[in-house]
Amino acid sequence: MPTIFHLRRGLLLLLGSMAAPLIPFTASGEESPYPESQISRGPWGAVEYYEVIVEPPTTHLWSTLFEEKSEWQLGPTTQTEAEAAFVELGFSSKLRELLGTTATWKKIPSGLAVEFGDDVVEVMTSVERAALAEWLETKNDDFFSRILINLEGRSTDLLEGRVRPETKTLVDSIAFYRGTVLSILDRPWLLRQLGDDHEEKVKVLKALFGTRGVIGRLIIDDTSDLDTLIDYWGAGRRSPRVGSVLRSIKATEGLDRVDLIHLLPPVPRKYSFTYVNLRDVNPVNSPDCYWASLNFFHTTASHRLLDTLDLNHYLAHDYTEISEPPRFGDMVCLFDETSNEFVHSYIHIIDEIAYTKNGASFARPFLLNLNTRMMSVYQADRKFTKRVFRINQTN
Amino acid sequence: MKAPLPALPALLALLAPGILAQDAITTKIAPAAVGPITLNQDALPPSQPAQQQGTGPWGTIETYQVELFCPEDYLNYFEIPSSQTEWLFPAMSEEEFVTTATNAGLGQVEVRTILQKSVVILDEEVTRIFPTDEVIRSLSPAAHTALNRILSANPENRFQSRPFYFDSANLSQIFQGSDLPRQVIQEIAGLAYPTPSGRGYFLSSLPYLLRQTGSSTDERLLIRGLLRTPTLMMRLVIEDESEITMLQDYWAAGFKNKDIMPLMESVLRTPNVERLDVAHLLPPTARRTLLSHPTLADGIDGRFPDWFWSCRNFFRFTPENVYADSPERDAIIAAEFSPAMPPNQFGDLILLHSGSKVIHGCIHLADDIVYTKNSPDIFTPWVLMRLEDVIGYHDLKGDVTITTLRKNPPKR
Repeated sequence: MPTIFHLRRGLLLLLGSMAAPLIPFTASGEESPYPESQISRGPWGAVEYYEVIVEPPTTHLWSTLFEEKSEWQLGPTTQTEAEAAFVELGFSSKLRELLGTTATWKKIPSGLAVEFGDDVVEVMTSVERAALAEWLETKNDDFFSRILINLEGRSTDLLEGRVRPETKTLVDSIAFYRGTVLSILDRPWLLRQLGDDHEEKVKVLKALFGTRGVIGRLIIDDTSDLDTLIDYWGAGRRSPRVGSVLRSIKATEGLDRVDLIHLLPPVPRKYSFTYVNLRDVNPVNSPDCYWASLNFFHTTASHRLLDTLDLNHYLAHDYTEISEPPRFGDMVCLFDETSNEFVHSYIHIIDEIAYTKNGASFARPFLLNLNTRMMSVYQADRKFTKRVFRINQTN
Repeated sequence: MKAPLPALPALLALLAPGILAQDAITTKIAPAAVGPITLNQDALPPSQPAQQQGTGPWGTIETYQVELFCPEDYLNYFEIPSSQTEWLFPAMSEEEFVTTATNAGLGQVEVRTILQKSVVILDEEVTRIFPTDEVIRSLSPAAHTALNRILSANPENRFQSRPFYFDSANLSQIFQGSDLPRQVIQEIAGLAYPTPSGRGYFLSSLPYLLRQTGSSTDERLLIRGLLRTPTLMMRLVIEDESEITMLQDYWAAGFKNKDIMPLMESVLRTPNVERLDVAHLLPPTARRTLLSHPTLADGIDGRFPDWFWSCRNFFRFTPENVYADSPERDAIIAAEFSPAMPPNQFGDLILLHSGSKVIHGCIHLADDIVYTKNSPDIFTPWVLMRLEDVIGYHDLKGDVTITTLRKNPPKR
């Protein structure tokens, strides 16, 4: 399995967390990872949904994950410059001493790297990790994206019951907040602490990459306005199949719910809750949010969308930007308010539910997700410009 | 599930040489008892509940009988025949016709009625019989079955070689929500006839029914109602945590269906989830096609998917365009499948044989439910059906046997 955490069009690849208002809390006040179902009502009818947590299959945990060494790839810099930066980052004298004496500094194709042992990891504080993360992101974003894992739910709750308590304690000891996002950088150290226990290593990696998704059902009862539902879920007349499904459900005595999987167009129906298949990967790229969004209304996934195309290659010609509230199938693009850089895209389904794939990582699935979950990869204080595009009827 | 009949050893090697491995099991289908077509006094509600349950190594599944509408746009492509009923026989004399018809099971009175009250045109190539409404109405269901069995051999008899199929005698339930007038449903009840296998009913009398319509709107309504396809909506009931390993083993099908494992594992460990639509548990390509009619994109290479395309690609992420009449079909089956012993497993390929021909194939999912594409035409969607209905649909001669093959494990 290739070690792909491919960065494309400035996407952030890994998941983190921020507020998730629909998630109930346990009696102890902690957020429950398993919420009760919710109901959302609107032009889409009444949709009942609940969250599940999916973990990547073992096949998608690439073998080199288990062999990684603790190192920081610092980009084009010198050891002297790096050591000066560590002072500015607020590293303790003990940490700097260890990096100067027990670590190994080496030249690599992308610049300078420093490889270190458990002693360095174990003296680092959360504040130092946060400072390092911010600095590494600017020095070597590609490397940073590969070693960082952002944890959903701003906590390590997803590990509860999935790994041994002592393993969770290890994760807790290296987890740190980057603003509002809880992250870890020291995956190699974590796996080393588990020794030869490969099974536990697999469990903790799967849990760390856990992603919440939504399973929903449209409720169809005597009060349902079928024409309105068909218009909404068929995106006008773009998905005529939806009409035949909904009319059939409505005509069936005793059947009052249909899973949203039946109302999606062919490509998202095929890909929902699955992980990247190697048949969709080429040496240059692998599917990400933009690929998932542009393929939404396709009948089969287009490999043309793996090419490095200008953002507007399709968007400016096959879509029309709209100012009204989004409806089913509209493509929502997020741009950094300051730099105007493209950051993320997803497909609006209903209300707070989107179809997305977060980043190009093999460990992140295609799924329906709550906007709040999806957006939790981003710092809460980051400002976005949201632009909504509707595919032209002629395309 | 109906237990498979006792194994009939290797008969299939004789039935379909080249396709069927010598150890495969052929099952003869026993004719079912046929009841009369029923029509509720009040067309609604149905007399039988739409929901049924079945339990086994697949867990507990809940099914709902649904009649899937054809997309409205497709109705424009349906070639509406003349309302003049026409039966095409090989060129034959009147005496030969009498012999053929009586040998097929028609009574002498019925044969005489046909000849006396129909227009018969004989030429060197074909015998054309244009029966009157009186003739059509006078034939018993059994006579319809016998007559249409002969007619089905000639593809020019369009609605005999591929009749409409009803999986139940309860037409009120079948046409529920179709907006067809009760009078038309009554006409259909009078014209539908038992399939040769005894499971379900056929209808071949569209031309006759067209004469009962008063406008193009009525015609469209009739076609729309008849083109609905019986299917099942299927949900896995998740109640017992102790079944988790069993469910994973069954639906993963020995790693052949690995793509669904992340969601399956997730749902099984999520409290309060009671049911999961089985669409989520199908491999990606099958999930993409389920409850869909073929689109233009499906025929982009010049052919629309048929049963073999659908079965062969069931576990394949990227479909390959190989069809039931492709020369490489038998070699593919021999290379990718092996004879399977009961009980059936998720993803098993079930082949239907008539005489020496393989006439259809479908994929076993759970209980007696299969994933099937019954015809390559655009009016036929990919659906879930009970195996006995698939047999009823395809068994035009009453001689269908089945064999089960299992996809070989993936190479790793």
